[in-house]
Amino acid sequence: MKRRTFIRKAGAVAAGVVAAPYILPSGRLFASTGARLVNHVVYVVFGGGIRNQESVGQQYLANQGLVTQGNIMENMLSGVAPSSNIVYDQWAPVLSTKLAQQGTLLKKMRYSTGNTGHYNAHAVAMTGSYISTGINVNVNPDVPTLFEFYRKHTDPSKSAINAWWLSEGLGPYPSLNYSKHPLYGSSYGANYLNAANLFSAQATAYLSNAKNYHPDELGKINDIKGFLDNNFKDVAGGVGVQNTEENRENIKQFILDAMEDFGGGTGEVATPGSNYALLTGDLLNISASWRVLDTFAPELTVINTTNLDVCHDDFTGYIDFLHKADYGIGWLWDKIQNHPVLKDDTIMICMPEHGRNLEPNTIYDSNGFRAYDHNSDDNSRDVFALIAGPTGVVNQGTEFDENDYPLSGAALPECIDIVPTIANILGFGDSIPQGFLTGRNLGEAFV
Amino acid sequence: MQVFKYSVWFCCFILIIGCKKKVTQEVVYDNVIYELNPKSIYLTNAQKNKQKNESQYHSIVYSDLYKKTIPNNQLSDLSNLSLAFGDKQVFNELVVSNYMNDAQVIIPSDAQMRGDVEHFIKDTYLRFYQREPSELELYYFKNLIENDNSVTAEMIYYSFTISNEYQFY
Repeated sequence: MKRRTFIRKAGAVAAGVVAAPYILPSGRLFASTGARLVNHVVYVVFGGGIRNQESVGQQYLANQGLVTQGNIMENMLSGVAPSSNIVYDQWAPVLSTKLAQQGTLLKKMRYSTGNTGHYNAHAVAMTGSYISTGINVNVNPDVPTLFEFYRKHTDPSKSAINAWWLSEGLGPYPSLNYSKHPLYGSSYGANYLNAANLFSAQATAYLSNAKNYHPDELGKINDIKGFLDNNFKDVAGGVGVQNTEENRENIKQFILDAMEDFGGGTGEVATPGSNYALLTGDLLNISASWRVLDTFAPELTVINTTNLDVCHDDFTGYIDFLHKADYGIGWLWDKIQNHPVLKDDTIMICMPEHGRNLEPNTIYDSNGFRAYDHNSDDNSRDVFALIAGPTGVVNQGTEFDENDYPLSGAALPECIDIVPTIANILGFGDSIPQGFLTGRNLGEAFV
Repeated sequence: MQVFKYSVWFCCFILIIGCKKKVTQEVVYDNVIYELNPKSIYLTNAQKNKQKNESQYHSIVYSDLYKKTIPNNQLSDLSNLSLAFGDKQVFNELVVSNYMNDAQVIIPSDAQMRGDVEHFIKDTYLRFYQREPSELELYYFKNLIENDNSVTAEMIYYSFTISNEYQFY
């Protein structure tokens, strides 16, 4: 048995043993704290800047002077695909039941304050706080991230192997796995991976021949290292998130296996027919995220998509990438629902980090379509959120639009509400000290 | 008269010998490699209080293992690759263990290590820690190597490069 297979099966068995005592006669799962809704959350910062017009608005090319409308996100949203003026590769949807039918669609969320730059909006989405940083500043945020809240306030506290952040690109995104906050920080951070770099020719050149030491050899190496470390006063800091020795070995093996499979074209990827020629950066990231989910079954996973930011100068490309990112999300959900541990015990939340402007810029693409920036205009502050999960936990096939609010006193949802919502799902919301989060739990999405 | 004649001939001979041009041969070596004997920089590890940054770490570990300078493009690639990992220790361990599979890495054979254990230990401390081992450290490794045939020089080198002290200077 390959070590990877062993790790996966051992993880599945262990998770099953943990979960089994909490399966009630009704069949619904409860976590050990009794306060959890499910034991796994996948949060997709469905990013790059998406206008509600082309997503939940299903306006397709209506704002380009053509009457054609339709749904280009056939996995996530209900609605018929455009049938004329097709400017994107139409991929048949993975899901027969749309995600919107398997959960709650909040058609309008607001990004109330701060600039609508990618990094700033990612930071808002992942900290639950409106903060204001530069667009491309590669620094850890000042306020704690979702990962730190989760690891610090879950009882018993969770190791880093349970929290993952996988981004499509590098830039400032690696810095979002933990904050600079003195009460939190890297000790409570998430594992981070960037698939594009990890499965590059460079990585193959410098890592793929790495030794997989036998456990007996590792035992001796760790003994020697232990002796050496005991004779030195300091511990290396600033080395990012830290895993246990055992988990480090598992992660290394995971990386080597994934490099071998993706490099050899044998790893399953999120394209029709697992065709590598159709891979985009977003779909590679989703494929790598699935490898993480499949192998480690983490409780909290955050991933993003960003390719459709080509909308700055290529509206056609934006439509195509949006369609493909939707395909990737459908593919991922399908995988989750066929996993022995994650199935029926996972809630997935998708939300763009911000929208795009109402008015186009001056650039036309090859089809003569106008391009859109995101300059903090009012339209760029509109996004949506889709919360999908098991029946009996998440309200199924429910939609809320801005006209539905205030809803039982609750205000129109905001981007900062996702973090407290996840905290509520994973049962640690009440443990977060007052003052850190000003958003609300999106209770309307849950039974 | 005869004496005078011989004296003239003798003086001429001396003059000829004495005036011979002195020839100096100058040999220029253009491929001389000057090596330094390993020298202890630190008296104790307490003198190390600054942590190497990632670039320094990768540059130094390469030099220590290959006994040559890391190519610039490789150092740049590694710095970029490290960004793809949240746990830098995972990344560093992968990089170093990848080196260990490279035939060009300079590691003593196990026979060499066991042939002169004390020399191996002192050389290893100088190579990676730039200091002499303490008596305790010498005793520990001597005991380890002499009593455990499965311990290899590679294991010891690998352990040094991923240890905390190696992260500092």
